[in-house]
Amino acid sequence: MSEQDAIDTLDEQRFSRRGLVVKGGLLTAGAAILGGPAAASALGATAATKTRIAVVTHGDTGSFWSVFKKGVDQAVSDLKARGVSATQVYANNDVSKQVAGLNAAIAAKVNVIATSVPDASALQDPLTKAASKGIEIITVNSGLGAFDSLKTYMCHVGQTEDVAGEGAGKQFDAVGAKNLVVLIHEASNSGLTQRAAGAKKTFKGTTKTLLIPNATSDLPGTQQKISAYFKANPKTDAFLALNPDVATAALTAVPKGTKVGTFDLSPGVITAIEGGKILFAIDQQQYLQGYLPVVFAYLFVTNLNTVGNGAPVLTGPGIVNKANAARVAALAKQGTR
Amino acid sequence: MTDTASSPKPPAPSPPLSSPPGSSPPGFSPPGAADERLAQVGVLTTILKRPDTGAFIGAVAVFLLFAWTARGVNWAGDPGIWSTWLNTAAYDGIVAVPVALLMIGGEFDLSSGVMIGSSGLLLGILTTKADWNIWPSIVVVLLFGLAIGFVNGFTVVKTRLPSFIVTLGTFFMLRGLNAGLTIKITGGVSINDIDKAPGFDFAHKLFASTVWNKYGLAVPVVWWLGFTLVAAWVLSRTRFGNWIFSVGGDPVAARNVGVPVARTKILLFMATSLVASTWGIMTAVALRGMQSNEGVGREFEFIIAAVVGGCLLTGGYGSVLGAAFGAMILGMAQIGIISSGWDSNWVYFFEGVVLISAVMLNTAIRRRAERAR
Repeated sequence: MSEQDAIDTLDEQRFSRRGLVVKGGLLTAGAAILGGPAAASALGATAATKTRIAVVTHGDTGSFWSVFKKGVDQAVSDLKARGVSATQVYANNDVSKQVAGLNAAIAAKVNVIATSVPDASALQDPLTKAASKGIEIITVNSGLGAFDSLKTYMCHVGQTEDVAGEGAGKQFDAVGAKNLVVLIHEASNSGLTQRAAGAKKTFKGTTKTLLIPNATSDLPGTQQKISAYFKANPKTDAFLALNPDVATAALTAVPKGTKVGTFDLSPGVITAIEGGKILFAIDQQQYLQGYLPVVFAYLFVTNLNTVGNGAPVLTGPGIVNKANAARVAALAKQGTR
Repeated sequence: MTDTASSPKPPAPSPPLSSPPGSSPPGFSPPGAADERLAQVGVLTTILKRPDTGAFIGAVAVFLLFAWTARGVNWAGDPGIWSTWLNTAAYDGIVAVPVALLMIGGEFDLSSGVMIGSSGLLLGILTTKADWNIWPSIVVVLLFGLAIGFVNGFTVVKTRLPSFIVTLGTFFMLRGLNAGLTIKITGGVSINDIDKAPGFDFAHKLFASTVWNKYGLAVPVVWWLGFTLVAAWVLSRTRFGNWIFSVGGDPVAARNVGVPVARTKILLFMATSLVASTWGIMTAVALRGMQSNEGVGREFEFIIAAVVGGCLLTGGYGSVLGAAFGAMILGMAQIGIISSGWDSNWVYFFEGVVLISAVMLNTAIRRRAERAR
């Protein structure tokens, strides 16, 4: 898309902030700050201070990152009157584009840079330079621990895979499942094995993993392999997919009565949750990963607030289940989930 | 086993089926073939000389292996398990049919995997964004497949670049289109709700239902059988079949005896893309949606099925029936590892062992048979 490499200035967008309210109680550390914009009105005296933030990520404009972008847009729109402005770069997995975006942000002398870290070594130079110029650094989505030695490092806003996996394990415990299989759909993706390990940690029954390399590029074959697994392991009563496409494809392959859970949302997953076919989805709530850094930046620049002294702010696991699926579906239509 | 796909290179002497049909021009058989035809050869040697014998033996061996290691789940006796691996084999085998023909014709198509995704996405866009009935959409998708195949073939023939490079370019272009266009049109990386298109129910019956519901044997198995029989007939019983062998064996000699080399190759590329598109349609109908990653990397499975089935990478030799056995080996390996309860982290390793053993068996048998001649 045309804007993915452009630094676009934000225009005001209007939509409900229910997206944040609905998540109440599911948030971890980040929840505390949600009162930020409202509480900040008490700081009226400092409204004259300009907060300039550059959001530079490796993301594309696909379904995941478009929700992230809406989070940034909404936060800027909410805080515009208080002098907050932002530029955004979506480098579409092109690391040199991301570096260029970071350098542009440094040249523009922004106060805060929020960046994802798909490749720590490639971003080493620009981020070190930014820190030396006194620009605060927030890492978002990916990159926990990569730059916490920088002197202007503020925090990481994202989901840790093992904690998210633990959330999934607890969900299966709650429905009394005994034998869980976790489908790992890419070989050598450490994030996926961390999720599986997290689920194993909290799940009280037996956890096995099933590796189907490149499952997402051969979904019909994946269905056959899943049904072969259930034939070979007939006691299995719970199935955890780590990808929404795998989850919806698995629905016709698992025996009736199997408890199915998944990571991440898709329209198909939300429909299946509403229909009772999928028990839950673990949502990393990337809207927060866009919204919160803007708020943090504002509070730091105007009030020198920091969050957790560098501890990560976890945006997940948010749980979508039958109880909230209909509302999440409505929010997904607005593009905030 | 019917005699479907002998190559003219070592012409099988005794069965009448395998000799080139009378309609083909003289001079088709490679030099020296006429002499060999007069030699007396035993039945066993005749069988061993078939390009698909190694794959058949390999398939039986892999079946027996899992019949033992997965005896706990009754691998050999449970029709449900037969269905599972036959379905998996069909998913590789359908596209492996034209890929085998193309390889016998001396060319590769690395875009055959990604074509699955492109075709499914196109079907999804036509049915859910343009709100077409599913049948005209299917016709357009098939025409799209033919067009891509024509572009592949035409480029290869006209530029004389290796098809490996040309179709690698097509692969990357289609992959980019799949991601770029899908995101542009739908805002996401997948298309859903194809089942809301008018006419979907019959399409689902035809492409994605089961023929033996009790055991879950999928319709694609029937399509696979059909494609295999038709292609085997074309290869062994028609003039076009002879053309395929001759353009793959020695295109210059083929041209000298009047074979339309360019037309043959272009038609083979078109057939490959057409069948890949068909499988893309079947996948999209089965999943009721499509995501932009579908099919990427599958082209190697099709090529592996053909190679395990006895097709030479250099062209001019091979068998469609062998490719079917190759697909069965792949299907059994993928399912058998799970049925046996082996650590699934070893899937890749095992597949590698199976492949190398199968190809080595092929080569050993072929050399032995050729010596026996």
